[in-house]
Amino acid sequence: MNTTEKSPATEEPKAAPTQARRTPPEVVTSIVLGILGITLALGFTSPFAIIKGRQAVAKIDEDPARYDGRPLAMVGQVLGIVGTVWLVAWLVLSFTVGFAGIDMFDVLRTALNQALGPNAIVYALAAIGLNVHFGYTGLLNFGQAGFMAVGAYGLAVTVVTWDQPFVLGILVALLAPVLLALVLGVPTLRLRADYLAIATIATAEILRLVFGAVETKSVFGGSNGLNNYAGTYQDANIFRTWDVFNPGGALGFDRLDLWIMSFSKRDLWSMVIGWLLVALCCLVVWALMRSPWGRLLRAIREDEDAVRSLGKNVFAYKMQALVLGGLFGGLAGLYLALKQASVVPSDYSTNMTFLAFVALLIGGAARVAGPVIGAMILWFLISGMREFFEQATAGADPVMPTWLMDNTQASLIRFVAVGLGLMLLMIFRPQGIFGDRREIAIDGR
Amino acid sequence: MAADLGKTARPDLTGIEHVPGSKKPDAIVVGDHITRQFGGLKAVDVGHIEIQRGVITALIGPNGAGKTTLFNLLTGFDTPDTGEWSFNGHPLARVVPHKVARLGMVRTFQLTKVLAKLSVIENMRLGAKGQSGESFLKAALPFLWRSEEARNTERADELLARFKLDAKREDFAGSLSGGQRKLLEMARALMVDPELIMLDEPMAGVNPALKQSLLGHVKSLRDEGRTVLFVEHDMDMVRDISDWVIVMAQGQIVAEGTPDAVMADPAVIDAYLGAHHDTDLSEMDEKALEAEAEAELEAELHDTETKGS
Repeated sequence: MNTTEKSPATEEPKAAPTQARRTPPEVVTSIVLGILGITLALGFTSPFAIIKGRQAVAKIDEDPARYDGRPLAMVGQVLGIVGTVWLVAWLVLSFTVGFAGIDMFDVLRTALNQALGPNAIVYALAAIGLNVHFGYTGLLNFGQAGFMAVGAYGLAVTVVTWDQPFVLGILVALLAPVLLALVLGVPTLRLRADYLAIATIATAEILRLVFGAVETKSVFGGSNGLNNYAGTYQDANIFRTWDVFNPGGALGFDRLDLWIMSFSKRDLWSMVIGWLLVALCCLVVWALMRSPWGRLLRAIREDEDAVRSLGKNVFAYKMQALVLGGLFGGLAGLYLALKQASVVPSDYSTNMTFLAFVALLIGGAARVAGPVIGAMILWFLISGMREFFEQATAGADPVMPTWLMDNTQASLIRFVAVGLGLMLLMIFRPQGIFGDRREIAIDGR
Repeated sequence: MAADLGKTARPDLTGIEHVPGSKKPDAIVVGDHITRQFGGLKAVDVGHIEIQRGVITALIGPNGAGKTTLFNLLTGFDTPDTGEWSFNGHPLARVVPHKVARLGMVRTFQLTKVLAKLSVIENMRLGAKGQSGESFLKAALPFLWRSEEARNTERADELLARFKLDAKREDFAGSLSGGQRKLLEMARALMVDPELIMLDEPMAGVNPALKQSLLGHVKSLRDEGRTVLFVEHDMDMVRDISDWVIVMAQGQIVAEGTPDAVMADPAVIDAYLGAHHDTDLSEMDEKALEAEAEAELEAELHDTETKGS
């Protein structure tokens, strides 16, 4: 492969010796990353500046007749080395003695706790659903929060408002998103993909507003939502009475401390249930997507008419995918309702859907583990950044200059960073972490 | 292959009248009063059409004659304003596309619709009919569909070998050339095992080397007992392989007949072929182009010389 590509490249300069030499793009990338590294990016981009700089130098040396800008590439590399040394020193100092009032160990611990904790599980489940919709079938569902809401309220309303048993509540919570998918799918799935996007986002907002409305307070509890339904779930917590190290006796500690992580018993129980659910959903997706059924969905994602011309009922398959993904969404809502023991309408805003999409895109769409890894990375980043910025802006004399950022902005800046990161991801690695680049590269029909 | 496709002798078409909408001895498709209006334009206005079973029928006509629209209407991809038509005696008005395909009437597209991000063999497997692994409830249990999948794969491999695509088996279909895509689409349509295969411009964008083999493949479809209906602009191909030609212009069928008869018909020549239909236009063009290019080159050379001095 390499040899065939090289030969025309080396011949070209001889054929056109007067052609102006140009600077390889890696040079510019290296310098930009290097400058960012020693200023805004706190050293985190510096290692990449070195890599890009080395690539640029290699390219120039291989074909000096076509490329110039070697000195600039060296500048980029040097900037990268300076930034990296600074980054390493800074990290080592932060972890050992604490640096400039920021406890990096604490930041890391918060980030890891959240990456493995119940919040990440909620987003992982929601993103698995979106993966079935968007990743495999190409359905643009912008209303995953709506599926989550009907799942959560299905349980809460059954148990609290109607005073029915917990098990029935779970059943209702699983049935509600299926019904929602059918209601949404019948009118929109025959139309173009855009209509589903519009219908789902509108429906999710309508549901949230209805659940939070004053007029329906007697059923849905208004903006305060509902609680006191998760008793059965909390009572089933094995960590309350059961001790791994001392069978029969009560657990001898309040929190599980694992040096770099620490979880309460309540969270621990939610994590056991949650990760089991995630594993189960991944198993289902994996088993389905390697079958002819999964092949059909991927075919529909690409070209519905081609699939129709082969005698397949496209509408039915899109509906099945919508129901399955919606069910995963409902499961995410149900799990959220159980782990925080209350349902509040504001939890099910459009933000929920979009962050679940971010998780899916980070991990890589149309990959079984993509949404799970994506949700963990997302929560690692946003909770780590919150902790970092909060510490940096805390106290009477904060590390961060107040003209740059104050304490009230600290928890918001992480979403700016997530947005920026997502843009960079789409530019440099559109397939996400697990995606297949070749699949993205092929776009011809 | 389907058992009901008997390898009988090719039907004799000599007795059929050469008039638009003529009766055929054994018609597989019969249509009446099919019209489709786009705004003020009547794209299709076909009074009566019959397609003979077991032969290759070509549908020709100038651009905008309504050939592709008629294709879309017949296969359910578009709905006509009026009209009814039947396939094997089965009425097809308002039947959705996938049901039309299941009845044994499968089409390909003018702009090929191979599934670029699926491998060639997956494209083929997708075509197989009645797969139990495509049922949601059985999909997660591989032991229910594995043997069926193996049978389909075997059939797919045979077809790939026949269409000389076996070397590309594991490649993404998106990496195929235009001609190979046409071949793959045809092979995939055969996985459905259709009685009538409808090819929308099978030669468009295919290089001359591949054209001959494509012609052979289309003929082989007829020889194994299938009916072929195709839309084409390439007159050589029409003359070469079609048994019967239907000419459309401005939405209507203007002439019908054997290829030689149709091409001699003055009405057709005027409407469609033009005065130069017997000379090879492509050759003429080439010579003219060459002369033009040479003149241009000379002018350019002269230009740079004067600038340089």
